[in-house]
Amino acid sequence: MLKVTNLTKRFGGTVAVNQVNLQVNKGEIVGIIGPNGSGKSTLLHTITGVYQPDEGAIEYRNRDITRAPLEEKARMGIGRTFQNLRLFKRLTVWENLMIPAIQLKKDRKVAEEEAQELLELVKLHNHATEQAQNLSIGQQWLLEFIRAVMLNSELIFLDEPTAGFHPNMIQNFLDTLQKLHARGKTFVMIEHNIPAIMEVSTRLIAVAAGEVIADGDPKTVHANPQVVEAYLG
Amino acid sequence: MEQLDKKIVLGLLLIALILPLFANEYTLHIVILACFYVILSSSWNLLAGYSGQVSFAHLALSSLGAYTSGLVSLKLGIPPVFSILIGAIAAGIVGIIIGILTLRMSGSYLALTTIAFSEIYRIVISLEYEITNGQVGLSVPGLFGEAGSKITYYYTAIALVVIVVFVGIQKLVQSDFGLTIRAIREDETAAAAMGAKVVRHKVIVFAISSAIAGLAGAFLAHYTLLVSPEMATITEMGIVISMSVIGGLGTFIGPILGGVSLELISEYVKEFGNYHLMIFGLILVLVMRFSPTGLAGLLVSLYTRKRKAEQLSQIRKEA
Ligand SMILES: Nc1ncnc2c1ncn2[C@@H]1O[C@H](COP(=O)(O)OP(=O)(O)OP(=O)(O)O)[C@@H](O)[C@H]1O
Ligand SMILES: [Mg+2]
Repeated sequence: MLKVTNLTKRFGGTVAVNQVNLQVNKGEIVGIIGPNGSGKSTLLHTITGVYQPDEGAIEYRNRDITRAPLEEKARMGIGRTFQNLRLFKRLTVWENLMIPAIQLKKDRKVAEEEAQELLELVKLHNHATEQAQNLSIGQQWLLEFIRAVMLNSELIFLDEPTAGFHPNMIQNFLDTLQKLHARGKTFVMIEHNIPAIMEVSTRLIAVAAGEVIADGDPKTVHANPQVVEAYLG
Repeated sequence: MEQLDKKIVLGLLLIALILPLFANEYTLHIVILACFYVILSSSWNLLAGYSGQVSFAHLALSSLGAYTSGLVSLKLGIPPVFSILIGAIAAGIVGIIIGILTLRMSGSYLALTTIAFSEIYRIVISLEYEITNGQVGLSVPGLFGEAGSKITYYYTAIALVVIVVFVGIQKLVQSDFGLTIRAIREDETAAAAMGAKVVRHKVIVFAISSAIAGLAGAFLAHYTLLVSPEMATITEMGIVISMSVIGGLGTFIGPILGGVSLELISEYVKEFGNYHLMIFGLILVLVMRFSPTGLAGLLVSLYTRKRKAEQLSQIRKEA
């Protein structure tokens, strides 16, 4: 459903994303791994429209969306979370979930049922009227996650989701992810937590210095000597 | 909190209703000025408090509404009732233009650009003597004609404008549009990632708040019968900002509390000349220190404390 061709993003002299080619098919959970500063977040920002690419093309459902701005891509059903939480802090949990629904002009009743259902899924239903900033960090992550789902998104990008959770909440999060996956959502997930990504991903992409160095079956990619070296060196 | 808002609004409405029965002309005059400031600070609150855009061009836009209305009524002979609306629309349109030019800028650039706009505007109207009569100011017709004192008419008219503006802003803030501008205030990138058309929302808010400022300015012009560059000074802007912040940014009743209380105070301290700004500054610092959410926040916390104490004594009694 998503096809990225020769994508390049530079910041002054640094080439953060260098001629990246990748594809995401419906129903996949694609993991992206790579050392710190290897350009994972920048790749995600450039695909979702936070940044405009310097070169290359992005196709979503056979439509060219290379230069489409962030909000337009969001309206097409590309959802995302941020590596550093970006909730609407002084709005309530409920209002946070209504924002995407309002932009899509969803039927109020449908949106409310959906929000209620998602809140129950991540066990935040008793916090609906609290300000987002008063939730625990783990709860804030869950909220940001389901907020992206409220966008009717078919394709959801997650930037290091497990970093926000207490270790014993990670499994909980992964279960939620798989439940949503079972409902037909496609995920692309940047992760440093190797056991977590190995558990859920159906395919793994490794990046180093802005380039894709391996792409394929998670076990094979993880064992790839080049990947091992990139991580150690 | 909502309940408290309702009580205060009802109380104010009651006072407003019976005021003309016992107040003298001078008091009514002060109240009319207070209403002017309440309209300005509530529209600035919409812009800065709810949408997070700090603009210093608000008074310039208000003055633009005043000059437009004044000139249209003088030169074209259009009655002030209509010219005031034309003034508001003109301010709204200029608001859209400033909005489009500046809203991609981040906070501090927006602030600086609007200061520059405001100063350039003031200099231009001071120098364009042929059209604006420069520093002396322009004599314009009154909303209710010239003959005799019509102060209760003016009072009633501006009170109605305040009510309409307030209800309008409140409806807007509580609508889906209002929720979206609050989300944009919290985080523009996240709002865009949720599909919000950030620039469009910001420009619309800028236009609405500018039009309200223009309306207030135009009304005042046809009350004082004079339009001068005075209204567009940074000093006046400082007063409105103090009112909004002291009242409580991003709160419903804040602009009323700030506008009314500061206007009353400034009448008492007027004899100290420009020192009243220092007094406002001092109040501003004290309020920010002890109640960052302004007088509105202070009231809410006092009220909830009282309610809790009552509930507690109720429980004790029952026990
Ligand atoms: N806005 C920016 N301006 C300039 N340079 C940037 C910007 N964002 C990222 N970079 C640089 O681009 C490179 C890639 O950064 P990026 O954040 O994409 O890496 P990452 O793989 O997500 O790292 P991490 O695992 O730490 O999140 C780094 O060298 C970084 O310093
Ligand atoms: Mg990153």
